[in-house]
Amino acid sequence: MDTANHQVLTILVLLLAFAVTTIVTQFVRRRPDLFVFRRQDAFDALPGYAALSVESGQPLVVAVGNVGLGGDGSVIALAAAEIAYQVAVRSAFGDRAPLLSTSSPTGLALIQDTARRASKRVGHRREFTDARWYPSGASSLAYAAALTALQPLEDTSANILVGRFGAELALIAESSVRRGHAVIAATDRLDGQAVAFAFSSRTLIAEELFQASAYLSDNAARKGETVALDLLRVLLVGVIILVAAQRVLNGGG
Amino acid sequence: MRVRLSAVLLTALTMGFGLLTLAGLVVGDNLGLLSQVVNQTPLRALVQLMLRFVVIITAVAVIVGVFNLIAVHVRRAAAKRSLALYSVVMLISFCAVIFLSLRPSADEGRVVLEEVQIALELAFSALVLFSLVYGAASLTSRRPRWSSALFVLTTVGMLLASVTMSSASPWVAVVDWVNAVPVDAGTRSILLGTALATLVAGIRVLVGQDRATRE
Repeated sequence: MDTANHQVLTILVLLLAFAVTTIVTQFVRRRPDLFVFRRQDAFDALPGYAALSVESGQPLVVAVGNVGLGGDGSVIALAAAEIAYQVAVRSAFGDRAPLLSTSSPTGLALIQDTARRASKRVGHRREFTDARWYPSGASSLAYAAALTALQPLEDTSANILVGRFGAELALIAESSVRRGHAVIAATDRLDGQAVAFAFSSRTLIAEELFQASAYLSDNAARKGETVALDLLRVLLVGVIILVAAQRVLNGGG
Repeated sequence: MRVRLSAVLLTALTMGFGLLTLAGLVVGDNLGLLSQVVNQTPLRALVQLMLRFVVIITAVAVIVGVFNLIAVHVRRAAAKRSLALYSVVMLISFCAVIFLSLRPSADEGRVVLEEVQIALELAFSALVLFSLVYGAASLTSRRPRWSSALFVLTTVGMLLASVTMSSASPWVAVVDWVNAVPVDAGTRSILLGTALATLVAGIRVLVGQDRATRE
C-alpha cells in the first residue's frame, strides 16, 4: 500500500470511528435501557473490594504501572486513571485512603489529579488519596519490587493493577495472592496479560480495561462508547472475513 | 446545569490542540487539497512545537518528582522511624550517583548502572519465573475452570518442550504450530481490541468528553 492510500485509509478509519461513536453515544443517551451489557466479574467485584477496604481499614492498592501522559500509553493511562477514580470514590468513606501509584513522572500528575477529583466528588475538604511515584527506569522491575514490599508495610488489601505492566506483574500479584488478598489485573502488554490471567481473581482482558466508566457509573455517554466499541468490533471482524475471503478467492492464500 | 468557565476553556483548548495535532500528523504530502491546506499553514510547525512541549513538560515533571522524592526521604530519615534506614541508603545512593555523573570521566556512573542496577534487575527477573510457576500451580485451585486448566497445561508443556526437546523431536512441529497459530491469533486479537478501544477513548478526549478535562 502506498503512502497516499495509507493516509486515506487512516483518515477513513478515524472518520468512521468518530461517526459510529458519536451517533451510537447519542442514541444510547436517549434510550439507555435498551442495551444490557454482558457481565464483567472484575467490575462487579470492585465495589465489594472497596467496601471491604473501608470496613477492615486496610487500603486498596491501585497501580497503573509505567504509563503517563504524552507517550503512546496516554489513552491507557486515562483508562487506568478512570478505574483509580472509581475505586477512590468508593473507598473515600474509610479511614485509610487507597494507595495510587505509578512509575511514570507524568503518570503521577494524572493520578494526583484523579485523587483530587475523587475527593471533590465525595465532598472531602482535603485530598483523600495517597498518590505515589516509584521511579523505576526503563523496566518496571524496581516498581514491582517497591509494590511487593509495600503490601506488608502498609497492611494493604486487594490490588488493582491496571495500566502497563510486563511479566514483573507476577511479583506484585504473587505477593498479594500469598497474603490472601484479591488481585484484579489488566495490561496492554501480552506478557503482562498472560500473568494477569494467571493471578487475577477476576479477569479483565485488553479493551475491557477501557470500559470501567460504563460498568461502574451511570454515565450514559460511557455506556454509548461501549456499545460503539462493540459495533466497531463487529465491523472489524466483518472486514477481516471479507479480506480473507477475497484472498482465498483470488488464490492468494 | 452549572457550567464552569475554567472547564469550558480547558475542554476547548484540549479539543482545538488535539484536532490540530491529529491533522498535522495524519495528513501527508499526497492528499491534494488537504495537503495544500496543511502545507500552506504553519500546522506542521505547530505540531512539532506541541510535541516539543510534551518532552519539556515530561522533563520538568521528572525534576519536580525527584525533588519531591528527596524531600519525602529527608523527612523520613529525620523522623528516625524504623524505616529511616532505607531512606538514608536511598539518599546516599542518590548523592553518590549524582557525584559520579558529574565527574569528567563518567565511567564510574556506567559501572554503577551496569554492576548494580542491571544486576539487581536480573535477580528480580529470576524471581519472576518462580512467581509465574507459583501462579500457574495455584490457578487451578483458585479458579477451577477449563480455561485455567488449558493455561496451566500450555504453560507447563511449552516450558518442558523448550528445555528438553531436541530439534528432531516431533513436538517441534506442535510447538511451532502453537506459536504460529493460537499465540499469534491471541496476540493480534488483543492488539486489535486495545487499538479499537484506544481509538474510541481518543475520540472521547478529542471531542472534550473525557472526565479529566470536564471536572
